Amino acid sequence: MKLRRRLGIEWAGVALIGSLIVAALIYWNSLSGVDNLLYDRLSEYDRPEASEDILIIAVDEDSLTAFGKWPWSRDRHADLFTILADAKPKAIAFDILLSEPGYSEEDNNLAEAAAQIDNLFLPLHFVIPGSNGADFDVKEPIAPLKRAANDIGHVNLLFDRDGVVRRTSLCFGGIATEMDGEKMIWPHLMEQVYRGANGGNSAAFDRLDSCQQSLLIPYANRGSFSQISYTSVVNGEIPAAFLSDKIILVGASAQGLGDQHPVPLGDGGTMAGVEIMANMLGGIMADNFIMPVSVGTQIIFSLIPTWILLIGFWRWRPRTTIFVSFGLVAVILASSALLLSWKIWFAPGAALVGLALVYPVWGWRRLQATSDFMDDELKNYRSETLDIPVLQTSLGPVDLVTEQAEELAHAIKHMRDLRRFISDALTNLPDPMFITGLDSKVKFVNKLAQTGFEDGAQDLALDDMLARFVAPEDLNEVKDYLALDKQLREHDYIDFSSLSEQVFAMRRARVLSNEGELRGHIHYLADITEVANAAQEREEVLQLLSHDMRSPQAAILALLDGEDATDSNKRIERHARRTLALADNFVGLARIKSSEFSGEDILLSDLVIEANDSLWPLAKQRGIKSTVDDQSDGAFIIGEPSSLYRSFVNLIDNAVKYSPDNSKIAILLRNISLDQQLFVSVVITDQGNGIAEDMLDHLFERFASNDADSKGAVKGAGLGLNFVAAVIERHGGTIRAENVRDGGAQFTILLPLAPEPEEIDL
Amino acid sequence: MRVAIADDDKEIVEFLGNIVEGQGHVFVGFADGNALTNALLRDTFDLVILDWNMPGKTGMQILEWMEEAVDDRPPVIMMTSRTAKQDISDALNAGADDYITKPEDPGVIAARINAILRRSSGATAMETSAQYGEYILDRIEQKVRHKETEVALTAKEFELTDLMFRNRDRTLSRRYIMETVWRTNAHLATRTLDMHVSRVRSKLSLTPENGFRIFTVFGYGYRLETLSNGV
Repeated sequence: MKLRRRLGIEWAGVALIGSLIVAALIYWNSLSGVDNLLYDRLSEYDRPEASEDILIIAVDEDSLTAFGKWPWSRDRHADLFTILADAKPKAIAFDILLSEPGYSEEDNNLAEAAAQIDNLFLPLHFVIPGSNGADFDVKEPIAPLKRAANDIGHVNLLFDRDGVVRRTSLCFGGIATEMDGEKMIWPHLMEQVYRGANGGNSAAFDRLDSCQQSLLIPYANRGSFSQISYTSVVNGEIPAAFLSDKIILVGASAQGLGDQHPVPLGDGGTMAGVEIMANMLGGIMADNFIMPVSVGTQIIFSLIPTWILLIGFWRWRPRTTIFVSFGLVAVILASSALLLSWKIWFAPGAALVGLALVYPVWGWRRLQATSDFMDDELKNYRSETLDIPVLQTSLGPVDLVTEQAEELAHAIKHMRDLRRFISDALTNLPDPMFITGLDSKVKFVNKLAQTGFEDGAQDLALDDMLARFVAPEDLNEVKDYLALDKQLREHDYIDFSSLSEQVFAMRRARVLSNEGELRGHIHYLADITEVANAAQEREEVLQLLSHDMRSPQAAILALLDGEDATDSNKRIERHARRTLALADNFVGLARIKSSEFSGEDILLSDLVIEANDSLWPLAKQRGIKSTVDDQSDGAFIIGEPSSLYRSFVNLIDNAVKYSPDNSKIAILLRNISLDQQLFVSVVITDQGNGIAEDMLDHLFERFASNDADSKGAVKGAGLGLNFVAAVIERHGGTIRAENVRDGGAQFTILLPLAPEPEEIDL
Repeated sequence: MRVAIADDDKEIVEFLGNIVEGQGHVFVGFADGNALTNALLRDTFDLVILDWNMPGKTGMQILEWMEEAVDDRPPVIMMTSRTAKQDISDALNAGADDYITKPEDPGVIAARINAILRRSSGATAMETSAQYGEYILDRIEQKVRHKETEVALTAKEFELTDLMFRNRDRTLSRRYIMETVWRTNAHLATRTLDMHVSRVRSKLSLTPENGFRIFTVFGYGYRLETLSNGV
């Protein structure tokens, strides 16, 4: 993001500055040198034909030889006028300035001769700057001549910065459209000639917005206008027919006369002022002046290629950009040439400069920004990653950016190694695991979890993955577990069988970002097949044992049923029942030691009553009265009913065994509170001989039996009390044995009360 | 009535056979699960007493097979040495009509067999009053008299008492009791039933001295047992 913002700013800066420079170059016409050069080159291919209506009468070297040094006597010009007046040409422009009065006789003669000509146009010129602070002074022809002429026009030339005459203005003075008396407008001499010959403004003149607007002169090739020597006309060597119907321009062409100016013909040579006039007149007549585009248009169109490139910078590779740049240069030049053939001049210099400027500057700024960014990132990376080895300095000095790039490559390689290390570590985890993203798609699967996914589990939806892995009967349970995301606790797990009949315990942990945002889940699978199988096997063994030990006893008891109740039969029955109890206690003990506690709500009073009821036949045989006094007020505990039931049966059975005939056994249930905790206490008191003092401490140990003492009349199973103690402990309760004062044993059991359930009305 | 007794222990078959004959029924003994299933396909029995562990097919397999293969199958009592709570509720939930753990008193076994046969031969018409031992139930007044003493019961307590006496010696599931007495299959708080059974037990003094005891089948339900050696 940082780099993006920085580059955005840099780009805007480059675009703004580039555009401003382009606009400024055009506005101040700073690139005229380049543009003129291009103009000269391009215009070479499209030179107009010279008009045959135009004839130049030149004061050339021959004339000077014939008539002597310049200036000549004005009588000589009067001679020319006389000859020309006779020939009746369409119009005559006399491009020789006669603004200072000479000898008045000569001047009068010249004026008289001039008056003979129908369409004579004379030049005026401006002295810039003018005298007395005026912008310019107007130098008109001398008054008699001015009167004789049809009209006068200015002959000032416009020089480009390189001194070349490329343009002209068709008028001089105020704004052409504003017909204000104060603002004088002097049309160009050639415009006046055109008007004289054609009787109206030229089309080019009418299109002008103002006299400031200059037009580019469409030069014909040098010397392509017809030209004859002044002498030959004055000497009568030219027939009058040749002169009639022509527009005649009279001017100096001899080198020594100074009226020679550089022109854009590509040869670096000069051209006589009068020939330049001829070219202008040709342009006026053919209406093929070349119109430069306005500054605004120039700016807008010059910016287009620059902006194409600027926008392209965002998307294109540098190689594309350079190709596009060259393409744009070609397009600009071609457009210029094409427009020129349509007589419109678009100066391509600024557009080219724009391209040439923006490309390297942007390249530089981009490189700078990238370099700074790499520098920052590398610093950050180094500060966060302490174990990254420092890059060995390379041989010899290198470019800074190269160095940064090498460091970056180094850092990336380090990252890649790290990533590979992590990925390898994950892949080779000893237990199967997979990672899911927030979209519930599998993002990573390690090697072990991968088995069974030949086509890869990457990007598989979690549900699909489960369907391919979990046995159908466990599928819903697993899904329920995974749906419990919000209440997910660290140690929750779920057991399930896989399709390949393995048993797994699955745990799920959250993947959190640095900011604590949930990003996905890791699922660990532990293969507990062996453990589960072992537990299963143990359970089967226990069941088998239970069954096989009980069955023969059951058979013995069944056999005895039909027999007389002889003393020996009674003893056999007693032993069979003892064996049964032993088997039950043994299996029960083994089972509670190998299984997890899973309790349910138990109404303890009823459980005790039923245990007591079950021993009623035994007690009745010996006249013993065993009664339950329930003061527990419907107390519930959380417990395992089977083992608890068996425990109370064992305790009451013991009491019956050690009680004398016709005695009483009292069982009392009460609620008591100990250390702010609620318990149900069960106190079982008999009227027997009590427990031997030395046995009291070992009573609940395995195979401890009261029968080692002579006091005991009946033999106990040994395992019974051990089982009871284990069960009570498992329920978070306590058991205590003691002797009451007037003889007899008393067992006190405390079991924690179950919490109150939420009330549901019936 | 014809009773099929399947147990791989000959002594047990004989013992059970004596009890069945003592109640005036006939019995056929089987020592092997396959022999029993073959017989069930071509013979009719009013009751099947099944041992869990048997060669051929186990009791549970036979029970499952009967559910599928025998139309109008006779009632089944599972009789086995397995005492685990899970085994008992598994067997009852798999469709066994009762479950007796070996060894059991012959009188209790007889009463249980009779309870099952009584039910399968069609419910007896409801008398307006009935006597069970020293208990007299007045179904109109919804009162119980015990040894000439009237015992005050709430409506639900009476219905529960009535239900248990009518189905004495038969194991009733908690669900069955809930739906019959409370006429709802909504999930009642489990303690409600425990408390009602407890109150009926103490109000009516359903103790062995009075010839009855209520026996909780953990994880399944209750059974009101009549004791032959009671008063």
